[in-house]
Amino acid sequence: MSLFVLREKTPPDELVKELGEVFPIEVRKEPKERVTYHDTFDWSLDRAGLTLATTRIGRQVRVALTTTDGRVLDSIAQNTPEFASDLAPAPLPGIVEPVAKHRRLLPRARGEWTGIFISIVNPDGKAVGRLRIRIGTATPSNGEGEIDLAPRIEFFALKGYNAEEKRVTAFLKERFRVKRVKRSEQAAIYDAVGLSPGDYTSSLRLKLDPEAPAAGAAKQIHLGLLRIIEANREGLTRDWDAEFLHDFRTAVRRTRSALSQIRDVFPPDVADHFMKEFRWLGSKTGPARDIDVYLLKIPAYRAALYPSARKDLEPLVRLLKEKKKAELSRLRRCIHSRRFKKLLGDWRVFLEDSEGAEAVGSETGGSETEAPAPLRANTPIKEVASSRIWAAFRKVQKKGSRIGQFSPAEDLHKLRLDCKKLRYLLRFFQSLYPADALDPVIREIKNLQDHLGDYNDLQVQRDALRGFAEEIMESKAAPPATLLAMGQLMGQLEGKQHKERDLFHDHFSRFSRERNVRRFRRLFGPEPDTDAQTPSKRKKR
Amino acid sequence: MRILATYNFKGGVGKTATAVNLAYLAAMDGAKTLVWDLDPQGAASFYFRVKPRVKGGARKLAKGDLNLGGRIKATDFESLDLLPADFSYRHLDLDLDKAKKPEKQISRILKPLRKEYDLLFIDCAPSISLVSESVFRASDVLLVPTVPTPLSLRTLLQLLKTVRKAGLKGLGIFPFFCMVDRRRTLHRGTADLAEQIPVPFLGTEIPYSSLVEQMGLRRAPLHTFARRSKPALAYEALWYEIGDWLEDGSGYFTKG
Repeated sequence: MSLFVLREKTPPDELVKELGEVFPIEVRKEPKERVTYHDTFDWSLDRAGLTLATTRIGRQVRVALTTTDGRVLDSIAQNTPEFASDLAPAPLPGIVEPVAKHRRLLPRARGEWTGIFISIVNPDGKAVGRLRIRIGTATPSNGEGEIDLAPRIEFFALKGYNAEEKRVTAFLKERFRVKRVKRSEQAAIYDAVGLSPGDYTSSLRLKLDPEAPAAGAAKQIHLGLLRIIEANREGLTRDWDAEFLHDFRTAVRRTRSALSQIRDVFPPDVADHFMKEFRWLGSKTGPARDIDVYLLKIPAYRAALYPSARKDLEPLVRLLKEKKKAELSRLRRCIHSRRFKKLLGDWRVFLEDSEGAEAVGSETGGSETEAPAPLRANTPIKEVASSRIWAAFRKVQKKGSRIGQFSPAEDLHKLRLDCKKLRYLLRFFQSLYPADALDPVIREIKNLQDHLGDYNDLQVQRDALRGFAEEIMESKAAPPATLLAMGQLMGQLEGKQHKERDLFHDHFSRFSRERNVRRFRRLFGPEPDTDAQTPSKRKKR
Repeated sequence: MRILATYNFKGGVGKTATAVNLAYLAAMDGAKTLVWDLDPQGAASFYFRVKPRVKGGARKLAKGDLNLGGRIKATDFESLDLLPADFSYRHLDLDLDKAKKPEKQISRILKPLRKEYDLLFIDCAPSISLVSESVFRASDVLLVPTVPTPLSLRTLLQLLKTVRKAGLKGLGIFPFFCMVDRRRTLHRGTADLAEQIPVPFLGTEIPYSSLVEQMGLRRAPLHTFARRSKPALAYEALWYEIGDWLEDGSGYFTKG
């Protein structure tokens, strides 16, 4: 199929009329079609080259998935699919689920199309070419404002009738100045409503200048994180899917981590004030996220039980859903609070202020008196980055080597937090180092962190299940079978946790092996002559 | 690609109607289908409103120089293409005779199309010749429309003998009754007639109907103008029967 758009504002009827004067044609009007294009908030379908469109036909919905190789897989559903798991039949869910995962298939934009189908025929009444004129409008997902699209002409050449194809396209080009395009209908609609696929990702994509003053670079990092916080606000309060809260919460935690780790670049009172406020915000997101995690784990919990015991978990699911509702409304109140709005507003004002090192005014709760100049505000960012990463690495090394067979779970938890801080720092500053040298370093820390994460996760799940069991007991909200099933799960979790614990030394010795230390030292370590001074400097802080 | 040839050396028994209607049904089922009109009369080409002309004609075809892919015409139906007939095919036999291993020529020339189509229907001319032998060697199945008369059965027996002599063991021979007129006594006894033939008949019978003749007036497959008619339903039943066999016999969508 060749695709053209009408350049000028030619009424399609005029095109049909003039075409009919030159070629014998048969014309058929096509019914109006209202298409909604779906994608996840992080554009996972678009990134994977998939297009998901739904069209309402009476009480049913036609679902059309276009795959990377251009195949269109159709199906009829009773309702518009909200998640990949709602799609049917195979292979639709099998294609979309690994891409979209648990994310909601949000309606991103709508298109309304009418069509005129034209067959060009020869004296025998045989079709020698076909074309379809698509006249459409685009509407953003909130339904506000309809935008006219340039009419599109799809030309379907028929095998063995190349001469006719050439004659028709030459006519269209000369008479109507049509332009050959490749853009899909979805792309034209996204463009018209101002959407650019790929404009959101939960990772920071920064390009820092190694020589830039630390305060400015830190602000760049914080602005990137603030954009993530703001982007996820709506999806979080509307509970579109669990990832909004996850990305929001992670960005808040990374903000806190950046404030504490990239220290001495902002005035201390400013840093302290925002640290306190973001700690408050982080604490508000915790409970709802914890419940999300358990809800996401339910399918795995069910699978871990004997088939006959699976339904016994339903009271737990109900309890979690009730709790989620309560926690979410608490979180919504927080997001709509003056304190939250003020925090984000003040933070943006501070970050966008190019002066950099000045203190925030009384409005933000900071001190009005002249603040002392931050120690390292003007130090080149790469110097600050390397020293902070090196310090964080040494800390992980030191703490990890102290963990023995009988160390409490708490020590492993603390080590996990230190690993997390180190990984955040590596991510913040990754543009300052060559990617091929940084990748193995990130892989090593990720490996250790994942292991500690799994261990800690199992401990937290066990504690949480115990807590839920007590609640269920007290409220008598479930039969004993539920408690038995939960007990069974706790037993399994404990077994897994012991196994993870046994593996700690393997993982840690891998991380702390000489080769990895050399990698860190080469990238972030102090110069040999300053090596001796660095520890004493650090102690002074 | 699986190859089905509609063949009978008696004329006017419904070979072309069978090829055209079955090919249409196969394409509607989603199979990428090609019809090759090898009959110089060009009836299948006429039904699809395509000019019966092939540049190079029989001479190039017999020499193996004909680029078949470049001669294909799209029909008015999705997934259904046609290789039109050419009047020069009337002496294709003589041209083939000059070729090396003429009995393998059709198979050889079809090779480049094997990946492009799932199914090929060859509409053969009513004769027995080098051309038909070459078609037999290329085909998986011979669909033999048979009018329920003693003479027709006699030609069917002759065909079976020819195939046996040629040693074409892998070729499936599927006779079925066609143009069956229940008002005639002879036509009512098709079961008895079938017993005289050593290969089983397909279960479906195509009734005699003027609607099938109307295909020539309308220049289109039966289903496009008389979908619910008796002969249309009979062709559907026939297609199910053959389709089942094709899928059982390793499936026409998968065989290369």
